[in-house]
Amino acid sequence: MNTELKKELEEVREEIERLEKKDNDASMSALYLSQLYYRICPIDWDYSCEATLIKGIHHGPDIAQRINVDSSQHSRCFVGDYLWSLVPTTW
Amino acid sequence: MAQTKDDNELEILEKEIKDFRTTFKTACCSEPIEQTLGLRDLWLESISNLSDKWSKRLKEGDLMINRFQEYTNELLQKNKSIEEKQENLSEVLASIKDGEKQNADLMNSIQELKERLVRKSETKSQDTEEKLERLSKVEKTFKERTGLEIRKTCANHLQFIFRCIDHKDPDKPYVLTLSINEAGAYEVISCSPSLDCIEELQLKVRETNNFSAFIANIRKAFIALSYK
Repeated sequence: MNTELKKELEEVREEIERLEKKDNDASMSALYLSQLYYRICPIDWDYSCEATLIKGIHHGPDIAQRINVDSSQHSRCFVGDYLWSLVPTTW
Repeated sequence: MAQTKDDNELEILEKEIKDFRTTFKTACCSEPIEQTLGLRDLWLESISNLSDKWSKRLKEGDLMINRFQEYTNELLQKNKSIEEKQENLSEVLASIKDGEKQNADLMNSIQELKERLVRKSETKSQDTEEKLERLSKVEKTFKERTGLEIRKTCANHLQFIFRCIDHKDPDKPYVLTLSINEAGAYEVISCSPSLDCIEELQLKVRETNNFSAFIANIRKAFIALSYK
């Protein structure tokens, strides 16, 4: 009985570890992705504004720059080009 | 004549002495001696019988003493064996008690962990869900607005998929696949469409570690290509 109980205990511990790992992995993956985006393009988005407005702050190497673009007035390519123009290409 | 008379008297005396001797011997010596001899024989026989009897008894006594000694030894051994078995029994009982306690502890631990598992399933998933939702929103915002999608491939590489490069075809993907090699340096696995400047850009990012500029320059190169 001792052996069976130990086996059951081990199984429950493994289940907890799996659950924790699963949660951690999912979180880590999503977190890593967010951090990578921010590293490439350090923009803090303002989510409180209207859906068509693109607001936020770009934290450039020298100064921080506000972003305020009405996406309904511009194409996706324009918006993309504008945001990427804030990212320096100098090494 | 007197001498002859004396001789006759002497002979008669000798004869009388002889007779007396014989009679005396017979009366006083032979019979008692024979009686005594008879008694002696009887006594010897009796003694011999007694000796046999006592000798036998003595042997029986020795046997009994040996047997008694054997039984005593056997008893001592059995007592010792019983003592040992009692000790073993005590140890076994103690061991069983320990085992029962261990089982009880294990069952308690299992119960606690199961409760913890249930609590974790309920709360942690909710927390994780919220966290994942927030992070997913960040990812979605970057992807939509910058036109850059980042994916992890099966081979553990990172794919950077640029859209909104070609204004005529905003959804056309321009893909860069990147990895970190064994030396810990950035390594371009593939670039589609290929860029002439990719080697140079790879070198620059390795030198400066300016990943932001690297990606921005890749995008710039794709845009330049799209105009060709």
